[in-house]
Amino acid sequence: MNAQSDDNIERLLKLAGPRPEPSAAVRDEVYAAVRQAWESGHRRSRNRRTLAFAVAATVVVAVFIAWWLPARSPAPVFDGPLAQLDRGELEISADAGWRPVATGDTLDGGAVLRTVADPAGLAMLNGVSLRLGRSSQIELLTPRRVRLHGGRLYADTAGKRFHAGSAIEIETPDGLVRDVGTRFEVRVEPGRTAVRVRDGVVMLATGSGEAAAGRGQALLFDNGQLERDVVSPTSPDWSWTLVVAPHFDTDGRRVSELVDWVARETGRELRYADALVRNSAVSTRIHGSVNAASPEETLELALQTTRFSFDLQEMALTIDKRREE
Amino acid sequence: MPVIHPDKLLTRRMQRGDQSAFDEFFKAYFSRLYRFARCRLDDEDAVKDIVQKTLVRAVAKVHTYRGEAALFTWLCRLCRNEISDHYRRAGRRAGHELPLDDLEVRGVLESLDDGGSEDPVRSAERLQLVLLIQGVVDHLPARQGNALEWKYVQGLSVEEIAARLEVSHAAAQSLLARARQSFRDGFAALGQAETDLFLKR
Repeated sequence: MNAQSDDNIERLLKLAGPRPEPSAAVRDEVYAAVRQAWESGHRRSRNRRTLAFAVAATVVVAVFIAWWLPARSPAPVFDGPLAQLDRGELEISADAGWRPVATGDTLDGGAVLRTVADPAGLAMLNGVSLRLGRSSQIELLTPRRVRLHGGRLYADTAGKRFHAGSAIEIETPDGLVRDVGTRFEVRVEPGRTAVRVRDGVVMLATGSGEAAAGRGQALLFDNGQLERDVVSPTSPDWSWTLVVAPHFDTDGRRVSELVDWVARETGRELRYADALVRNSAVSTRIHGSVNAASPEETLELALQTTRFSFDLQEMALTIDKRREE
Repeated sequence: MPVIHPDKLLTRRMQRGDQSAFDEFFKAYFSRLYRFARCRLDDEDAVKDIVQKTLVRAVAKVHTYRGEAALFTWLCRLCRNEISDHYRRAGRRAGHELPLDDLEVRGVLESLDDGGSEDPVRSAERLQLVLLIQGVVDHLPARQGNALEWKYVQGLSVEEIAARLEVSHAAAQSLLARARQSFRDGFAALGQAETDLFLKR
């Protein structure tokens, strides 16, 4: 073994640094999709084998029990802390009626919460961001499940930690809404449940069956009938979610994290001019905090101190290197 | 008694519906495959889509994996096909696999000694070299790649690496020696003659 050669290997590896990891949001989204494909493929293959033994009916029942009943059955309430109030005003049901929740207060399983005149932002302890519209009411059930009694709820699973299955499930009077790594809104009104998907994929299971919706799609379950619609991910209808969005401190963060956050909060697709720009954004950190009124303004102010430029289009945010004048 | 390769064993467990095998598979290959695709595409969303398509295809065809090549190599082959389809649909030609040519490799390697150049062209070449080095490490067996990164990037001692891998000090040393040789071979094969000369000089 040549010592000089080993030294060169060390220099090369130090130059390269640690191998970058994809974001948790991307990892979770891909995991959910691939796992679903694997499970359904395995289920099909298992069913084929079982059919060969002429017990198809048993399989149908088993699949029904394994998939449908757990989705419809009420989840046992988790005994312990599940979330914290991050922003906005929220009330919790207590013996004597309703009392206000202070920012940072921990909320346990079984807590019934409501907003009155303003929306509120909740940080689930597993990293999911929940934003409750005004005049809405939810019940915290388990680390992955909440019940929406009325009003509207926006969920952003992008910052959650990696684990199997859905990050969040939302029970409504009409069924169960399950994410596959995404951002979406559920709205409950008497006799109807509406789901609007800003990114990723959402499954809605009702007594009539199950339906999926992807980015820019909406599902409306109204008096037992399922209807589909479209919704722009950048529509002003989403703007209420920004009021109680988690604070993003730019200081010390990578440029890639900033632009990912801006794209996520504004519903735009993130694009880089090329692979070099993307890699440079991953390795460049921002120094200093920016206090701005909107993600777009934060982006503009923060990138002024860097070598990056941006182009904000209706549906996309494109990041490039600043061209010298 | 025939010895079954660990990759083949993993895919067999996945075929049987073993959920821990699926998690093991995803944990072992997702990030590596993502980096593989990322070096070859200039659109972050396309990278995610292609990696997802590749893995979905892989789990659907896992019964066709015969263990003749490493599982990661098999996945890279599927991923290349997806990338080609992507460029075909977009009406574009695929970029170079790893766009450093010999002269560039030599230039960048020389620049390692100049204290860090501000030249944007050289910076870009450095970045390409970084991608190449990371690509080589990703293609090593996972334990070898991790051991190299722990030793030379994180600065762990052989004792610490042995503890992480739950092997003896001698076994960790032996693994590192094999990892260095594998890295040297892989890097020289990618960078061809110039790189080879550099590593031997």
